[in-house]
Amino acid sequence: MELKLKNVCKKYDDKDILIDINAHIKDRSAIAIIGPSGAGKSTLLRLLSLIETPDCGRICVNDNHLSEISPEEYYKKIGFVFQTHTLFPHLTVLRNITLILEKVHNKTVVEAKKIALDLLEHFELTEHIHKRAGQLSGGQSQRVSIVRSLAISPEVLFLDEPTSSLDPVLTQEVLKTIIKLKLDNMNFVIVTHEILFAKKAADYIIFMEEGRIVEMGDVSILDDPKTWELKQFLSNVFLW
Amino acid sequence: MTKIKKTNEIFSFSAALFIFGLLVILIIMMYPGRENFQLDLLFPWSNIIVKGWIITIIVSIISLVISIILGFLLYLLSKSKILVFKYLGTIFGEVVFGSPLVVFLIVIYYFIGTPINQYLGLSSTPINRLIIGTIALSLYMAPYMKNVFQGAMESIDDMQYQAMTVFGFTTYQKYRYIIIPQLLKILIPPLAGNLTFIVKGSSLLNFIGVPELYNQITTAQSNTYAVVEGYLVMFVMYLIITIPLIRITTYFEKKVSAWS
Ligand SMILES: Nc1ncnc2c1ncn2[C@@H]1O[C@H](COP(=O)(O)OP(=O)(O)OP(=O)(O)O)[C@@H](O)[C@H]1O
Ligand SMILES: [Mg+2]
Repeated sequence: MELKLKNVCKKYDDKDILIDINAHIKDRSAIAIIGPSGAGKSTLLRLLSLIETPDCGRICVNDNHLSEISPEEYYKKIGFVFQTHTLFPHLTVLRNITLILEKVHNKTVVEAKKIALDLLEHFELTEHIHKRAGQLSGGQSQRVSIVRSLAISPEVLFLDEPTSSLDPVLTQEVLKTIIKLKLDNMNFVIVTHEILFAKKAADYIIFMEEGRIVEMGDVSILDDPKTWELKQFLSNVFLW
Repeated sequence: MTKIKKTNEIFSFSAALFIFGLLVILIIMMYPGRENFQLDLLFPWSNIIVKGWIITIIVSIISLVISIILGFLLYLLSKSKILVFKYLGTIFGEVVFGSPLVVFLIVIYYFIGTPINQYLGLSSTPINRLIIGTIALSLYMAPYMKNVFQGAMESIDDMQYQAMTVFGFTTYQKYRYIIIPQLLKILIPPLAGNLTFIVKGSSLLNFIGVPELYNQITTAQSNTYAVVEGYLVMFVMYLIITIPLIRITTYFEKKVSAWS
């Protein structure tokens, strides 16, 4: 995928959340955004996915100029996975997926079902297709959320700390799913606190602090950080 | 496993029912005036009693519908940015929650219903009382309905709305496929619960002369002197309406709670 950000900024109530963000990333399929809490990682992800719009600057994701495309049109091309699962509780796992394919992407009932079943099988969720979210574990729900976002074959999948609400065991289960995305060459941008995981799953790292990108580059920067801030951040992370 | 559980449930339930049956028989055997117990005295009045029973059902259903509408309006008031509207709703709710139903009905009947009748030159016929009573009952239930709507709306969490948007659902589709189906299922138990409440409460319309079940049985009682028999029939006829409603309530409650 290709990401272009030019002089992007974002304020909430006159407070600068993102300050002059510039980046041009090409030919990378798995990007991880890391950084301390409050750095603006989620905000950046929400701008990239057009859930929110920047106060200044321009953003391009692949061929989509986000200031020109309509949100509805863009939403059909991307997937977004939230911190907690957002399965619709009154529908089964299968229906959660087929509903979107049928109603938003105009697939026939047969097509939708085939897509959903294939994906659920690929991600080893077949035994759960008739369950509702209430009958799944947190990890399973989040995996289904990911599969649901994949079902529309998005150009890019955005994930905002998909494991932050899970315990360590369930976290591993979800991270494995995301590693699988990487093996499938899916384009994704993930905000994560799991640095070891980022090392494995990502090929590009964006490190943010206080509303700015402090350092970015190929995943090797995690082993050999150039800036003092990233060094500091990593040493704190690996303390535990 | 589940089959054994089911069998056990059915068996236990039958046993409990049987114990209750024994208790009823025991009470009847011990009842001092049982030799004079003459249910057949009421038979000639069965038409009137059934009519009263049907009126109870009709009044309850109409009150349910009106109070749902009023309750939804109250809910909208409570969300209003105009504070006067919001507080109008709050005050009305507090008045209702603070008053016994029978007092509320009587007050509405004498202080609002009767004066309106006089202005319009209407006489106080049973139909007229029935209309006023139904409206009074609906007014009383409206704040309860408001709470039902509030609870239901709050139970659909914010993240779901965001997710719907990012999946590209149109507003119509969000309501059609996600919000309304959930609301309907969430609303059924409390609505059925409130209907039970209305059915029971409608018996108090007797005090303003609405010819519902209680009222009609009273008429039959005073004509036949079958007082005890009358109350027994009344008891059973209310339960015939309310117990299925209670069962519906718990059935759907279980279903909905399985979601979360
Ligand atoms: N809707 C909002 N209104 C006001 N301030 C906000 C809003 N969303 C985020 N902020 C503020 O913006 C800053 C950055 O938030 P953001 O959620 O992007 O951080 P983050 O890097 O994702 O942090 P975390 O790791 O804790 O999720 C924070 O100081 C937060 O308080
Ligand atoms: Mg965040």
